[in-house]
Amino acid sequence: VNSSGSPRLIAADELVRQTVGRLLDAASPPSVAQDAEAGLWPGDLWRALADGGFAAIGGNADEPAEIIDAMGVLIEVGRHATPLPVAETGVLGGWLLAVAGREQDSSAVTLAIPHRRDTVEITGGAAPRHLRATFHAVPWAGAAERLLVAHAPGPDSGGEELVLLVERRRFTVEESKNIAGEPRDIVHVDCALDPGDAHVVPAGTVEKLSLRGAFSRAALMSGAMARCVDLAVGYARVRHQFGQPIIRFQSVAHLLAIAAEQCVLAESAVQVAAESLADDPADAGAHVAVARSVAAHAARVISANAHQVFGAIGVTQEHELQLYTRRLWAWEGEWGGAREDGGQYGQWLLDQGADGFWDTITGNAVARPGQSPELAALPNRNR
Amino acid sequence: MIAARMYSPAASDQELRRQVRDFIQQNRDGAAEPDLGIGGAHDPGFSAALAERGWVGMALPRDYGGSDRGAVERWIVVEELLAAGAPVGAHWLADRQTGPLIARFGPEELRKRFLPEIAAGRCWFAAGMSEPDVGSDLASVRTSARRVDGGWLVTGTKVWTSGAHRSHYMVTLCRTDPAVNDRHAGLSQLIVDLSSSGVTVRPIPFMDGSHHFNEVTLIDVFVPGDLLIGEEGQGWAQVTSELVSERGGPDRYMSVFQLLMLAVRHAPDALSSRAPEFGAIMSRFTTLRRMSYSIAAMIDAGENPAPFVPMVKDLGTVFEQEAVSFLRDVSGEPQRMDHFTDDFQRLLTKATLNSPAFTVRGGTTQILRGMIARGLR
Repeated sequence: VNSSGSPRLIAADELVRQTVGRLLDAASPPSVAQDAEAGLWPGDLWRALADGGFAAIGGNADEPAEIIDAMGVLIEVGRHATPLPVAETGVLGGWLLAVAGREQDSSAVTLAIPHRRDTVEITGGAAPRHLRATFHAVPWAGAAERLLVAHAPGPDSGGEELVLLVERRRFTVEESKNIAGEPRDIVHVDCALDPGDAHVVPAGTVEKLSLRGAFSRAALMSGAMARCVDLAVGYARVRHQFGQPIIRFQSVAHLLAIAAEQCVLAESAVQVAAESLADDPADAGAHVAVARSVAAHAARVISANAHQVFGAIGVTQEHELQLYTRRLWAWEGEWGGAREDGGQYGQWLLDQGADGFWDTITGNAVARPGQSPELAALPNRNR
Repeated sequence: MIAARMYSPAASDQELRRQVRDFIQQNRDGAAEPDLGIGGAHDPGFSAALAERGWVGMALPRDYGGSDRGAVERWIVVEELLAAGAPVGAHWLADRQTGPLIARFGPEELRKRFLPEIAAGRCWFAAGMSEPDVGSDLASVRTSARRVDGGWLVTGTKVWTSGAHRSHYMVTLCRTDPAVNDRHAGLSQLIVDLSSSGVTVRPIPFMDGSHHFNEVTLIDVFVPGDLLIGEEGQGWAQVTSELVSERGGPDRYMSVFQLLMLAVRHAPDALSSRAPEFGAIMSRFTTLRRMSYSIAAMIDAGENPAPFVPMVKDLGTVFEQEAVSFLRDVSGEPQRMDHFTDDFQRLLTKATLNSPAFTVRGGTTQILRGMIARGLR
């Protein structure tokens, strides 16, 4: 719900999106993603994105609407399978730095929120002195210049939420990859903390970071899905079988139609989630959960249909389709997961009860003037 | 790939929602049972009261008795009516289709004659499109209109004609020129007064026993010459535009809303144990309604929403069927025709028996996907 008197278009800045799109068209062909999987860091491409101001976009805590432009950039990054920590450096790390009161710049950062599998030991309470930890699935840890650790204490510990900065020379990286072959490393830290690198942040920061993380994956997925559909449509137009382009066969055309509508549905949900993160209403978490859930369902359909249209060539390493479908399968499970998001949204709706059901869906429970929001908050994401 | 184009609702929309909710609260028959979206009951009093508030004919120009409030406001009113399962059956088709059709194609004489009556909620239409051998392939209609002194004589049979037994008129797609080779040429839309001599309306009961469908037989029915909508021979272009405006609205995902709400009321624990599936279904619902809203916003902004319209109908009606299927699992009881334990079970039976029609009426899934695919070429 926007506060103006008329419907408002949710759109990323067209110039930003087009500029990034053209830059990546030229400098981020499929070979860049393939080389990255073999271990080559595309430093020139990172510098080009940083010089254009796109590497850290979406991190400005004073300009929350920037996340809508960042959505446009992330969609382009996903559409090109660009193997760089753009989400980590802007929408996630840049924002976290800003919340912690630190200068933001475009040097690559990576993040760790302690996960169930991780072991974390921070001594010193609100004035942390030492960090000993092992973090799993840390994106691009080897290439990052800084590691940000966002730490929320257990619900009953009474402790405060912390953001810790760790310079590259103070952590070691054990290489590991997600199903798309992107670096998701294991990071070991055992070091004293400089008091200036440990920040107490407002309660709820880690939760908001998780929302932004889930959103970033949905936005990236939206771009990768658009590429899958474009590739499949392009191929079906030129691939001849039985004397005609295969798009003329109704069964093939319908695979493409189903993929296209799922793609539009997912991007629609991502746009709503972006606006919601910008405006930060009480139900922002619900919109992110919706976007994640819709994107995950769409990704399953689109990856299956695109591969079916391509036949055997599409499942080879040399063909670019797998760059996008593997990313869809990887991103679906990062920063939570579709089933978890669906479960949280479903339970949250149930918690509003039958009488509040429609009010909640239409946003009336939030917008009713003169009353405080009636919505129960989404429960903390179960990381 | 076509990019999504979403609009966020204005805060002022919420005030209109509250007005509609209050109105429904005051005007609905307390004994009425919740129903499935556009299966909404026929209640002339409700339609008249709604029109009194200016909420029928909202898309029609003021000069013809409409309120000219635009597509978004109409969308809000319609969504609220469907959410409440309100008895919209009497004026539904005239408001959604016939009014805009006549407003767009005229002629002026018909606008003056019919639009104020439609906007008053007291002139009800049925859509005479399909025929016994004509379903999705509408251009093959065989109902013929032969020129006679002062008008036409119309002969043919229309089927699946919802509400014809209660409507005053039927917009009848018929062949006015049998000689043309182009099958899309020679078609016209005539307004047939259903009380005319030569008209027979016979019910075709739905599998749950309800009466919506009819077979309408026309034998040498005289239609005065001034009851031609638009132009003679332009019926194909006109009916195509009519179907486009029909397809992107809330009726394509709201059919099962009452059922979902009743499930939340009567089976919260069963839903809770399937919260991920429930959330996934509701996520699609939530996004679809925002897409449908955005189509209305695009119309008001003068943009062309056509690429999104078949998508919303296909995604919406498939969602409706999947929701019914999911809720049958949630219910966990053998389904019955009577002796229901609660309203959820009652409406679930009705929804189960009606859901195959969701992806058939108003353009089948396959027709819609063909349209979407043609847009990709």
